[in-house]
Amino acid sequence: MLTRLYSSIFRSACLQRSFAVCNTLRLHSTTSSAKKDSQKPATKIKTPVGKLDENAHPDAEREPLKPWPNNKNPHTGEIGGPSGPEPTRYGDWERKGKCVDF
Amino acid sequence: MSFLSRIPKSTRFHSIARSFAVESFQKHNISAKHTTNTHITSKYKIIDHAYDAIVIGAGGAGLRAAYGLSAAGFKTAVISKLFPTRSHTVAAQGGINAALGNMEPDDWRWHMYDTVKGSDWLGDQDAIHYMAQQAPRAVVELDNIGMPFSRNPNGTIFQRAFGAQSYEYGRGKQARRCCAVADRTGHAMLHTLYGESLKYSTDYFIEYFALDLFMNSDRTQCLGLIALNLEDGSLHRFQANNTVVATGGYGRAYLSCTSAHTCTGDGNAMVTRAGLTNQDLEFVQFHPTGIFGVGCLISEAARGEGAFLVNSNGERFMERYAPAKKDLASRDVVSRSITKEIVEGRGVGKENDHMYLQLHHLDPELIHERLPGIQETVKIFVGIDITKESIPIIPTVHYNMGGIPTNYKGQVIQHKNGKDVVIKGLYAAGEAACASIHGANRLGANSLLDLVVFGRACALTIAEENKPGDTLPELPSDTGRMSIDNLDRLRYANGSISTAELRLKMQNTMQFHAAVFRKDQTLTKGCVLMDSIFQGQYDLGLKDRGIIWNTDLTEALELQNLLLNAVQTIYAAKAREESRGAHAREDFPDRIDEYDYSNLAENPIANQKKKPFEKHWRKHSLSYTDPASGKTTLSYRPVIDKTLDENVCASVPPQPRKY
Repeated sequence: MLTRLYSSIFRSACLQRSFAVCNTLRLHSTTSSAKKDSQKPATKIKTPVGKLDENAHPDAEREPLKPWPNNKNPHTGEIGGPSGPEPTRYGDWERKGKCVDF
Repeated sequence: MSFLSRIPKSTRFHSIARSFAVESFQKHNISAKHTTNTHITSKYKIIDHAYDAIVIGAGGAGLRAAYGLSAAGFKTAVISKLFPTRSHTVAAQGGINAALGNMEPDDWRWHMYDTVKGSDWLGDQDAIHYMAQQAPRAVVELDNIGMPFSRNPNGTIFQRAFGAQSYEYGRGKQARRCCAVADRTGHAMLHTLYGESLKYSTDYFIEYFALDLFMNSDRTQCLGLIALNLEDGSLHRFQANNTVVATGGYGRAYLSCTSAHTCTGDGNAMVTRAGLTNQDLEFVQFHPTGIFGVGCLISEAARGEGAFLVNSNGERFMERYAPAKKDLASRDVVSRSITKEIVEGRGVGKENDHMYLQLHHLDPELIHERLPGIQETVKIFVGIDITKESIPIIPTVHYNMGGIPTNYKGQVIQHKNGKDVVIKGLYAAGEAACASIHGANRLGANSLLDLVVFGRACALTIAEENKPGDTLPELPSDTGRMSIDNLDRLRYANGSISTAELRLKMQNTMQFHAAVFRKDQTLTKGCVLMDSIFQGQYDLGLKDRGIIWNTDLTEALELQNLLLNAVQTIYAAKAREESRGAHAREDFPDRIDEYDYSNLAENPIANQKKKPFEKHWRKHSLSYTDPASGKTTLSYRPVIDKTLDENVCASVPPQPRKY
């Protein structure tokens, strides 16, 4: 009998909880609070996606070469190529003054 | 009312077990067993493994061979002292050459001609034919696996002009053959190959230092190898019918090199200890302006923008050596001039051992815009501001053309009784191998191509001649005893000289006696010094006696390997009395071939009688150093001039090479 009592209380608690939940959801679904939600940056910082565009890694390049607009080199038409001046312009492969292949 | 009590009993056990279970990424060889030999097990734990094929080294060539073998169904193990994506291939930024013809009409035969010419006719033309013909296929295959090459708007791979390539057998203009992935081609290639190899069931043994190869009694077959697990100090004996050596070069034998600290020529040394010869070790490619003590190369762009070299007198010495082009003379002229100035006593710095590159006379805005990388690197590593002071530079080692001799299929060969003999079960690919496509001088963007083409060639040859699951011969129970004895001796070494000191001595000797500027006196003195440094390894003293992650021990093993490479390099350089490609001698400035080029109009080579083999130098040097005594012996092997099929691709007769 005690178990039946407990289970009935539990079930009513469930019902009451779901009622409360429904109300909360209704309150939250107004347009003003929807706008407020989108303005909040809180979730951005906690998720990995948010972390990716934040402070760069301390070992990252300090002044990276600016990528071409649309990732397309306007002088040669190369898509996905190296940014900055043409690496092979002096006969060896250089980037920012350092030679890598020759 | 517990949560757990609601779950049925059977699933509860599994869910708990799974939450505590550890997923191992590697599928370890479940048939590995402990050896039962009493001598060695007393101190070291030894585990035996059996595979169909083993690849030593997990760089570009090693991973390509591994994935080719696994895809063909062989039970493959990859043994690497580094994590695969940390191999030195990752540092390659230049591109891969292939005659795809996306920009302008192209033909792989023209690529073959350029490579033969670039190698100064020391490259084996059958291997070069193979590589040039396979190049388009290899690049397209990499593209299909997922390597993100940069593209043209129409979707084909973008190719740029790089590295002495031409159209129409040298008669046309500069060819556009170099395919690249932005400026990180090596990085992208290594990661692509690693990802692809994980799709097949290859076993990776990462951070296992390969010690020695097992050979049969008359050194004609390779049976496996022994490696030290750095993580727990156990020794692992791997038995296989096929072993591929892809361990890379040995830049660290020199004081100034662009290679990582791990480029120590382990494969070349293992092959020497196995009783086999290495080929063409004297051909080492230098770049004239590398930052002293750092190893970064300063591009010709700096000299193109107006920088120049100065010696200790503040003099712009290039005006004396190349009055017309001055600092923009060709790279070997600049390297030789720098080294000559240093040898004549006009070097700068505490030890008078390097030169200065002066940039501070240029506009700081220009430096910041065009050469920011140098500004940053020099500030971090050398601590100077290039707008105020000059940069210390020294000719720097970049690539080793020589290595383990192979044929065009990737099989290791030796030269016995005037013929090339294949060593069964042993293959080599990449910088460690010398199938001799680079010959005396490597062209830019050809080395990444070499990795994939010959890595694949090794896999194909093994697949052709073997079946997965072939029986392995019985190995004697004390196999590997000498390697373990050496390891044990080093571990408890109690001599007077530390590994770092001996290594520095070797690097200094090699840098100043066997670098760009080679003359008989300097080379002879260098050989004597290197012999005594080689004997110095018996007087090493190690401080760390442990066996787990003992980097003192690992560095001592690497030093042993470097010493074998260095001694062979300097002896081979002393013996070769001519100048060819990267090997330039002050006292023998010409290339000595079997033909006479002095008057080709009246005396073409077709009418000439060839000089005998002993009288000319168009031949490969084969060197061997006895690991115990340190004595080096040299022999020679002819260059292969015939291509694989003369009807498809004609061989290129030798001609003088004009810079």
